[in-house]
Amino acid sequence: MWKATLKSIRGHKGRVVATAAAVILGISFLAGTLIFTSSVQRAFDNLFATVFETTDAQIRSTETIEVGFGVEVRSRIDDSLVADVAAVDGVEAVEGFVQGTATVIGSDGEPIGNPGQGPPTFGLSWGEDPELNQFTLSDGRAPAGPGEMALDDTTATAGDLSVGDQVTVLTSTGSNTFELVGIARFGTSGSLGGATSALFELGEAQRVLGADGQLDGIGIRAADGVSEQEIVDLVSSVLPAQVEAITGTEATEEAQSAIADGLSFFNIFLTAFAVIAIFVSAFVIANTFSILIAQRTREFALLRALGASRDQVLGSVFTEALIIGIVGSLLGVGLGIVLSLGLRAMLAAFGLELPSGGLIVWSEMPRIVIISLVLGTIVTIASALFPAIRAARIAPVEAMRESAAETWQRNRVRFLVGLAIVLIGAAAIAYGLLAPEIQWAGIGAGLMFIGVFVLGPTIARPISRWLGAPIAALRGTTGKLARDNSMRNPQRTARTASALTIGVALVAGVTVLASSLAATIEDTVAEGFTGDFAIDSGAFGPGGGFSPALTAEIAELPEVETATGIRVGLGEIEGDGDFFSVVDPDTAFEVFDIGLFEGGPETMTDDAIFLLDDRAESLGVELGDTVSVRFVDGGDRDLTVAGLYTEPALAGNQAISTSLYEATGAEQLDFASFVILRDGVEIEDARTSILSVAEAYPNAEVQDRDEYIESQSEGLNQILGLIYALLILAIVIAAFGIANTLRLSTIERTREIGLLRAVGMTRGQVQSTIRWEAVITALFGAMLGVILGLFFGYAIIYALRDQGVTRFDVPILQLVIVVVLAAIVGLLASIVPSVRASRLNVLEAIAS
Amino acid sequence: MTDATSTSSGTSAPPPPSRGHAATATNATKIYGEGDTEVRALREVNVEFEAGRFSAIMGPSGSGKSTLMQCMAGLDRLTSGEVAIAGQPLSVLSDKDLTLLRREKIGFVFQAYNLIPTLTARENITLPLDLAGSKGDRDWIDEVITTVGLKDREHHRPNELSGGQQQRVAVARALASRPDIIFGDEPTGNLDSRTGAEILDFMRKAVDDLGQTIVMVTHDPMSAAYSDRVLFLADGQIVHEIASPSADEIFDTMRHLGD
Repeated sequence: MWKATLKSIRGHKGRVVATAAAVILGISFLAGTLIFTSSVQRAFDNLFATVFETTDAQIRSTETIEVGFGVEVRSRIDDSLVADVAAVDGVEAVEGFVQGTATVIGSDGEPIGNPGQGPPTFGLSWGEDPELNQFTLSDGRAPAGPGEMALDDTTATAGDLSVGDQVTVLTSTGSNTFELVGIARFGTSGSLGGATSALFELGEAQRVLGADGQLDGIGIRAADGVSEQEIVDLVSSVLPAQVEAITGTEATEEAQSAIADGLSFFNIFLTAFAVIAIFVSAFVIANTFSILIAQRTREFALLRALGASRDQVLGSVFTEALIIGIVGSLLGVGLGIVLSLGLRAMLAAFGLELPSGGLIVWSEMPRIVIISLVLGTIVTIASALFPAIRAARIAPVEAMRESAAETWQRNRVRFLVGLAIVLIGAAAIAYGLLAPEIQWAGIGAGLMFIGVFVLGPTIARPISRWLGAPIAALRGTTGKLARDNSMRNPQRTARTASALTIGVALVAGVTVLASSLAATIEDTVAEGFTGDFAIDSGAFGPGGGFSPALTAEIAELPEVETATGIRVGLGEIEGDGDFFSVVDPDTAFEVFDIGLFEGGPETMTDDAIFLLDDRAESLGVELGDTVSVRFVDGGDRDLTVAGLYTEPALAGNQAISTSLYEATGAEQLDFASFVILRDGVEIEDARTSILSVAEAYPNAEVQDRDEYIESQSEGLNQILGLIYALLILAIVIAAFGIANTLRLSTIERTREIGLLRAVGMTRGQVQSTIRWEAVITALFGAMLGVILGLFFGYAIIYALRDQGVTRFDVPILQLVIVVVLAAIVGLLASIVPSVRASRLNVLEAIAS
Repeated sequence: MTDATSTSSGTSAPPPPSRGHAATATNATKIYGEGDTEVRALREVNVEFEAGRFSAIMGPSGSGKSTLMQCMAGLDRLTSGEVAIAGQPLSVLSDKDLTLLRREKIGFVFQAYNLIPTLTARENITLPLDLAGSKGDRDWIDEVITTVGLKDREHHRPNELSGGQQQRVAVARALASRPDIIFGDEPTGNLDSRTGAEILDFMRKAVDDLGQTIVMVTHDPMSAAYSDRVLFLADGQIVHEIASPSADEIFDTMRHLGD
């Protein structure tokens, strides 16, 4: 039997390749994701390993605010500590440093890097001690005082800046111009893990970054013979409360794990698409196996007649699946290496530049190969399970019959089972979204796909008839034959279409979701934003935005009635890290209607907090109660709940006043400013004036009311684009599935094609018939996909209704485009099989 | 090039130059393989099939009878020599033109698997016309369907028809476009003798009453006896010919050829 199996594989290279293609593609995405993320992680690990190599200990504040995914801010310490630490026995050298946000403007006037979408943009102090300074000069000299700066090599190149240039840098203290005196490299790398670094002499850095008299940390080099731990113990004795010392090793590990946290979201995101790709592959593999086994009925029956047991037949199919699974998975890892480069390029195209730790991290490869191999093989064998059982049930007498490949009976049981699985899946999605336990939603979606897969054959015939009607009417005999072919084996049509169904369902679901979210956001902003202009930095969160000085300058303009800057703060509320909206109570409520139903501008004092109604409810507090809040400066503040509002999209979970947040010593950056004009001022006149002020802040985009409202959903489009790009792989796998089925079907119909050719069907007509069959199959899959996608989209929107998502918007045009694209995918998939079928030798076809 | 390919229907074409011959083969030679494996299936065969007659080609397995039919019907190409259908030489035609010629000027009845399973009897009959995008002659098609006795089964699919009925559909399809010539390759080979006789009777009638030209390859003397003329092939050459044959004559000749 072994021999027969191997012979069978060798004798049918075409079908082996076809099946393996699905495994290869599915696994390649998983392997590509793993290879890519391990490369990125390695790049950061290497970076931080060299960074702290010569640092024996570091001193810093113990006060931090963390909001997850690696977003963290730490309090600053007093710079007088440097002298105290330097005086400790065993300390060889000390170096205080500051860091903050600084946006460097390139020679083209555009900001370099956007912390909203990629690595951070740092402003840093230049270390005088070469061993404690992680940067080394590659050109020019070190920045020595006011008005001077250095840049990392990568940023200088990206901004086309060289030594001697005047460079504009934006920080929380405003827009300043410096002379570029030096270019430096970070360890062995051109930049600090892709971040931009503007480097200043310490005193200048403190001034520019708004950290007068303060430091973010102190680096320590110990005397010879003093260990890292010993020096930490020694200096700890002179440290005040809320300041700690850690070893260089700890600093390295923390930095590495912070990056790993930051990348974890990213890994989960990519892994989700890898799971989708494998899931789609499983459908294609299962379908290919079941067609092959139907076609090989006589072969198996003959083997049975010659004395092969059921177990041997079963074993034979499993062995074939095992070999295809192993070979396909290994090739998948190979393709994954290529794909990892594609992923990097794709993410870069979407503005997410990530550093590279080399193409392949060899130490990670065994793990990646094993995961890919095990998963690929299991999926292949599991997909072959039902077809293999069917093969084993073939009675020896079948050998004597004509091929039973195309028998299909309407099956009531199948219909009911399929329906039941669809309903269970829908219930699981409902539970998963409402609980909320997102994995149940995923399992539910998977179950619905399987249910549709089971259900498909019972509905494929009537739907194909209906979908094919216009084609049959317009394309004459070839159209009619195409439709008849798509109807003659509804099980096959349904299974072939199912892979495409998954891809289209996800695309349609995401499209509906995005469209609904965009509509909701635009509605909310249109209702809540009562101003005339917005100046938007495009960044959101700490480390992004422009100096509050811009808002102040705009407020001075004669055309302007009110200008208010909005910041994002980080803090802990009752122990949980979260974002805070930071607003100026005197002006913000004039520009935004956040649905304030308790409190008002006058109640937002420096010891007050405004809460979203749902947030107040979940915290169990009411108006007038106090909540414990901690900011980056440490120490608990009891803030009084002095206002309640209803619009999370505009003001998040909680809001505090600008003056309170400024008192915490946190970096102050406006992520946007909003403007109301004086009565009678022309919009265009105002635009000119505002632009003239904003010119000095290249990361500030001036938008009028309509432009701003529209731009609020633009971020979604970018994410949507990325998701579409990642889902393309699922569609490509589905296309392979369609091509596979067509190829196998035309082999089955060789004689029929021969007869048609003999009685006068041209090659073009043969191709046309197969092409339209593919289109009908693809349309069937796309139609089910759109229906499922609408359901998924609606389910998610419904689950989000408490988060203020009020609109269920069905973008008809986009969905029509999706369906048309699916039909084109079918058309492309049909090219190879249809050309092959049309080239059949008429005589051999008839004789076969 | 003649107008063979642009003519939409064989019946409306002006009389071809050699009106007397529906098909001719001149020095027809067909060689399969090369070198040691070379097989000469046809050796310089010269034959003419007259219009309005029923001819049979006989010969033992490997005699080249099927090859001759396939080459004359435009399903295969000769190695050398020429075949002409209604005066149109086939060697100069492209695959597409050859296909169009088959569609318009030639009818086929194969031994088995003659019908498209997804089409009804009537749709199978009109298939060559439908492929040409032509409506055909409705009255003629109805007459053909009635003549083959399928009036009440024309909307059935092949799997709902008996073997004899299926073969009658195949014959009706061959007649539907009123081709210059119909080629049959063992058209009764898969049928029991009574049903086979029915089909042959019908083919005979098509020649006598409708003026159709039919060339049939067979190995069965009883079948060949329905024809006007039997050609005997052996080793790729025509070795004998009988006009208005009886089954006994054919048997005798075959025994003779075996000597």
